[in-house]
Amino acid sequence: MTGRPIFFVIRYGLILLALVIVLIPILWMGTMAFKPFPEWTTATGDLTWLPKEPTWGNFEYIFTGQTEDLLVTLDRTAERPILASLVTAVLGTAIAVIVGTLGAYAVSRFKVGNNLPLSVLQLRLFPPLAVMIPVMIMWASLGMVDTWWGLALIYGIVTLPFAFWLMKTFFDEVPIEIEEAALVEGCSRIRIFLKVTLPMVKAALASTCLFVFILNWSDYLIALLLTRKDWVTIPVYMNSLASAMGGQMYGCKAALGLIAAIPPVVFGIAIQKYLVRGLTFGALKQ
Amino acid sequence: MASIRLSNLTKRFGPFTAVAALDLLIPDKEFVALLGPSGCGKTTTMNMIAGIESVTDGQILFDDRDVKNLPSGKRDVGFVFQNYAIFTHMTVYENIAFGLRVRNVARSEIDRRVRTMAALMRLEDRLEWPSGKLSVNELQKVAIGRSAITEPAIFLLDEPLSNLDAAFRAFMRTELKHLQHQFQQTMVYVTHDQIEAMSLADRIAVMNLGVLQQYGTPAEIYNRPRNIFVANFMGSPSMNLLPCRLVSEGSALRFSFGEAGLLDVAGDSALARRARSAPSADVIFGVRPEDVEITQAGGANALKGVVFFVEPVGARTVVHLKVNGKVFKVTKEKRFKIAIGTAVGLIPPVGKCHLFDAASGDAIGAG
Repeated sequence: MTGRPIFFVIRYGLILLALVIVLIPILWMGTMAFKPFPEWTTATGDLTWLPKEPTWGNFEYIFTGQTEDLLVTLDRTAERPILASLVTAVLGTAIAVIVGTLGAYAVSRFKVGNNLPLSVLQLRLFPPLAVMIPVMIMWASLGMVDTWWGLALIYGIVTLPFAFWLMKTFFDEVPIEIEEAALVEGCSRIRIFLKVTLPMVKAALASTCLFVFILNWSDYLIALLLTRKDWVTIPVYMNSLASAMGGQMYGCKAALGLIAAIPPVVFGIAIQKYLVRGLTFGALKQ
Repeated sequence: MASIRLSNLTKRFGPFTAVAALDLLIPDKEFVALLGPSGCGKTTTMNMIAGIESVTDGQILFDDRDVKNLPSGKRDVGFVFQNYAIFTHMTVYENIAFGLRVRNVARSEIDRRVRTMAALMRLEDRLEWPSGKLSVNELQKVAIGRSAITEPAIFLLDEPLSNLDAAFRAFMRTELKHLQHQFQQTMVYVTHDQIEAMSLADRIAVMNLGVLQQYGTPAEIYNRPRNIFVANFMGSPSMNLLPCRLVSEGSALRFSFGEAGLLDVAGDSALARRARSAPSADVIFGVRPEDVEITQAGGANALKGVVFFVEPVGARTVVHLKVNGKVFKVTKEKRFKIAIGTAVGLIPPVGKCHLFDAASGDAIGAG
């Protein structure tokens, strides 16, 4: 049935459609980032796909605060938010993945924490705002608002459920006999975890890191509530790229968006081998 | 080297009893098979010997040392798992070297022993391969090599051959036997395959539902099954079992099979003597398919049967008959021919018959 030409056409037509829906906005952002001011505003009423006069002006503007096209100067440039995003997202990911992996291993292997897997999800059962306002009050009273550690900590906490559940699923799939075999050979528990089990799930671990990192990297709400000035992250900073005179500065936002896309893309390419290979633990014939 | 003594060994998972008060002595350097259908407690027993599973009650002694509370790594046992449990992120070399590395053996010594083991297992050209790329047969060899390299006193194998293809399984059976001769280990072998158990083991422990049914040499288990379960489980095709009633006929003893007929045996025969010790007149009469004679219908002292299926299985022919509405099998030589629907007489030789109590299933007067 799948050999009929009509199915071939429909199949690839649908794939093409999906690609178009996904890629066109990204392409639009990519070209917009290199358009000078008159081309990215609707004021001139003339929108084109490719920039007519490609320019680095948008990048120049967000990093230096000024460019010849725009009269307004920017009071805050993009380096600081990029640094803030990197520091908090990386640390938050580290917290979530380390704690989540250890917790998941304990639950998966030692029959502890009967209700833990579900209760970890509690945080996710509420609308984010309902959780974040109390958190904001707590963080404020602890002096953790607008600090890198305060933001990294809350990132670690809110993404912990994802890291925990993903890793638990993967640990559950590693046959217990693998660890028993090591145990019989006289391996200590900690050594089994570090030398046997963890290397076997490293593909899963890499995927979990990427997933959690993207969640943290693209957060807006938490950063909006828990930062003021020093540790504003890219998404929050992006929102400030507007002026009373020029309105939304789409070109600058596109430039920033392009930069913001780099870390997850690079990370993704770096671990592509694992993502593609997925979870073939192999060697097990049940 | 070590003997293993299990005494009153019990394992319960909540309300479920996996192994019930098991007593078993596995002598030093012997090859013992734990045989039984799945869920009979044989793997649980093995795991308790290895220290992977905790013990609910009873003792495990290696020689005279109680190892119940000894961690598994300190028991000096090798374990081969049914699914091989190969560390797929390591090379074949690293897998085989694993136990020695854990024991902090010197690097040169590890290298020497890994290469010796690889030669023995015929894995020399696979040493640098990532173990994930091996075939199932090779994985099994790696698993055996990895467990054997530390030369444990006790070698435990949990259905090690059940995932292999038939030809390689036969090959590995001989290899295992060789290995045991070479290392002089005490081997415990879990299997549900009676042929494997019969051909490999010095002794077989037949288990069912967590209870030991019989423990003895393969010949004892086959020729003198202690109860209906063992009789039925051992042998392929399995023993024919027919319910019958014992009636005294003067000096003779009559086995009445209802519509299938009667068997009269001399009162002073061994079978009759055994039958007289039966607790009730309702017994189960058992005879192995290969022991039965097929004759013409209507003869005296023969059971009535009708052929309904003839199954040629290579070297032999299995004749399926209906006796009293029950399936009865007789194995004959491969050239044996008989038409379906033929009514025949079946003569069980008196000396090769088994009797079991219908109520308890225990063998009657079996020595």
